[in-house]
Amino acid sequence: MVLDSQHPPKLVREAHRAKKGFQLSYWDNAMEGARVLAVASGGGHWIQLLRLTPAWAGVDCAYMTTNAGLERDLPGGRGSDQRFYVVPDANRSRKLDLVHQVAAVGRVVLRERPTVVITTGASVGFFALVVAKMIGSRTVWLDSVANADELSLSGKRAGRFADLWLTQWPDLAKGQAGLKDGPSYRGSVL
Amino acid sequence: MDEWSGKNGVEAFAQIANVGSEGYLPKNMAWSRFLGPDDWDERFAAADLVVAHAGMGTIISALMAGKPIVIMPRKAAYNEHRNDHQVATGKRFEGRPGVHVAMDEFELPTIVEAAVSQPPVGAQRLGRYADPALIETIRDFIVSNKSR
Repeated sequence: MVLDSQHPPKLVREAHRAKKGFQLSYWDNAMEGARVLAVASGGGHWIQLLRLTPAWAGVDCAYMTTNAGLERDLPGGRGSDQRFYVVPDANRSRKLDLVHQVAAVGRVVLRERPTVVITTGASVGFFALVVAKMIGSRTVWLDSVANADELSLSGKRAGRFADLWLTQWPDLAKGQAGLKDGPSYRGSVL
Repeated sequence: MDEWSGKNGVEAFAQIANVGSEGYLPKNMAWSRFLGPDDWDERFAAADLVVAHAGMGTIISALMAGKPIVIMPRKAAYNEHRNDHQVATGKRFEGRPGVHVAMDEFELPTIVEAAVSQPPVGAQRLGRYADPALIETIRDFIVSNKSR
């Protein structure tokens, strides 16, 4: 289900919750109340995010990306009842796009009120973490495996907003190369 | 790649989102400026060899499909990217089965030849999910209610 970030679907989410009540399972107990928002821009960041989906299997999860065509990649496939938000793409060289993106990301995060936001980048994930911290969500930043020699710019800045701040390269982790502050290493998507 | 494809009579398809400053357009390859996700998948599945810049999405897709890939990192010096992280990616993947790295266009034809002459790598496909330790770390974080 593609959701328009401009007009987020109040009713849809309530319907989803009601339905969930009939499917009490082990994970509903273990993950009680947990609500994940998984975020990545289209392309490599999104492909890396999908490789993490078992981490929230059985948990109420919504997805946010920058390309509507990627709905086919959701664990439930295209047309499933999973919440899927599309926000404008952006990059640093086009400031106005960034403004539109921040606004759209903010609307989705405020609507979803997730308990946990997890992202593999890039700017769309960074903005999601910033807004998420403002409303008290807990946050995970997994820096892209593409950043093998140094953290991405948003990866560095994300440290302040991430409760769990991760790199995919052991030599970029805190404690390595004299780094006093930095992300942790717990494995990679590969 | 266009030259190589013409010279060797190999059918090739190119996605060229940004035509270079010299305005070069392929003479021998079919090409398009943009491919949607579904078209991209179709072209990708049909290929015997993938030649691309060193973006992780393309590399992971090739590893998962067990498809050989030649990567040529984008360089900041040519304004192809903000920084040289793709060069770093190229170095990290050098020697990985099925991944062939060409550091510039002069190396490219030789590396492509080497890639097509090697046996398929299907047996060493990358699995569908991340390192279990990483998944476990994130799962524990989601379940726990503690902040840092």
